[in-house]
Amino acid sequence: MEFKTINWPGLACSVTTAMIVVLSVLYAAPWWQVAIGEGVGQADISPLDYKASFAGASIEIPIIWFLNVSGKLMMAACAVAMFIYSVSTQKSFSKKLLGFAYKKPLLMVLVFTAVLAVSTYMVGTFLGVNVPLVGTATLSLSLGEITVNVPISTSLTWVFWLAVATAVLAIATKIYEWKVLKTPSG
Amino acid sequence: MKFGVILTIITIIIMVGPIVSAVIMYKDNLIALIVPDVEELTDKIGNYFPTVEYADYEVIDAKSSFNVKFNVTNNSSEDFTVNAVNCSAYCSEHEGVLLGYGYGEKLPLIVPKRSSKILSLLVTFTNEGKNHVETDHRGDKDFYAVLKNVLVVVQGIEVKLGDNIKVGPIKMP
Repeated sequence: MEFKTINWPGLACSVTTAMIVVLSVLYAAPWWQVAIGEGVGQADISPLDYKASFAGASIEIPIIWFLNVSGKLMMAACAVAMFIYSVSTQKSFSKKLLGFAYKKPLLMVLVFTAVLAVSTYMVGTFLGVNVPLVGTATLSLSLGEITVNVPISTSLTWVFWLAVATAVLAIATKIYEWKVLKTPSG
Repeated sequence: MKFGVILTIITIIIMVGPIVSAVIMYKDNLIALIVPDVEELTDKIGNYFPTVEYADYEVIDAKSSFNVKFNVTNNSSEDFTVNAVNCSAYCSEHEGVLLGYGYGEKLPLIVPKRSSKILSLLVTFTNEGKNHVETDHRGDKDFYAVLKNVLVVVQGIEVKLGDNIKVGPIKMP
């Protein structure tokens, strides 16, 4: 293995991807958080994990657990493939590994962001509740003669930005392969 | 088998495998796969909010204030915090006569899980209220006040009650 044949952005991408998987497995680290009132409701969401509760009740949606498993496997496979590719760029299979791995982090960030945007928009349209993608808002609800003002705050966590950095590194890996390493197609 | 085909198969297994497993596991009730158990949720959410009952009163000074006590029972498995309470107090018998304004005392009140605490509301008379009580209700044994525009802040959530709360009978000295 020669240092000059290593795809450094790819190596960095494999490390950050592995970090995202490890953070998910150990801490269920969310990418996006919602807080309702002071401890009334909470949602910790990412493509790899989901945890939501409201008024002391855990809100379980089984399909999301299975989608999270898919997300975890996808990122783990990406980390492994990207690492093997990065340290063996001259091998005949390396380009295939790159093709397999580099789109996954980007796809995950884009799909997650799109789903978030669409979900918050749909909640606003159908329930008349404007949930900001990032920031704070007060939701006013009328329940019979009772008026309830619920403060809600949402935020993207540093893990989301780590995922964005991973997606950028994945693109950089492809560009590095194309512009710097110029390996023959396998 | 070509390496590229193997990678494609891995991608398909990763993306489709969990979904297919989910569908197989929930084949008898596919709705349960995508919708949370609403009945269970409703029960748990119902228990989360405490019950509030009028308990007692205490006349601190017949000319200036009285205290209304509510028993707050928290049946949930988490502590519950009452951050603020305020309201307007009116005479029950003479509608439209503002007695004064009420504010929660010793707040925030933290009601531990599965227990009860007393929420105390201090009603301080306005000048109009003082005059009204002194002239029309001095010595009454069954004086009632009506709490209106009740605003309660619990767990950071502001709740404005539409219903009025009648408290009494209050024995005026």
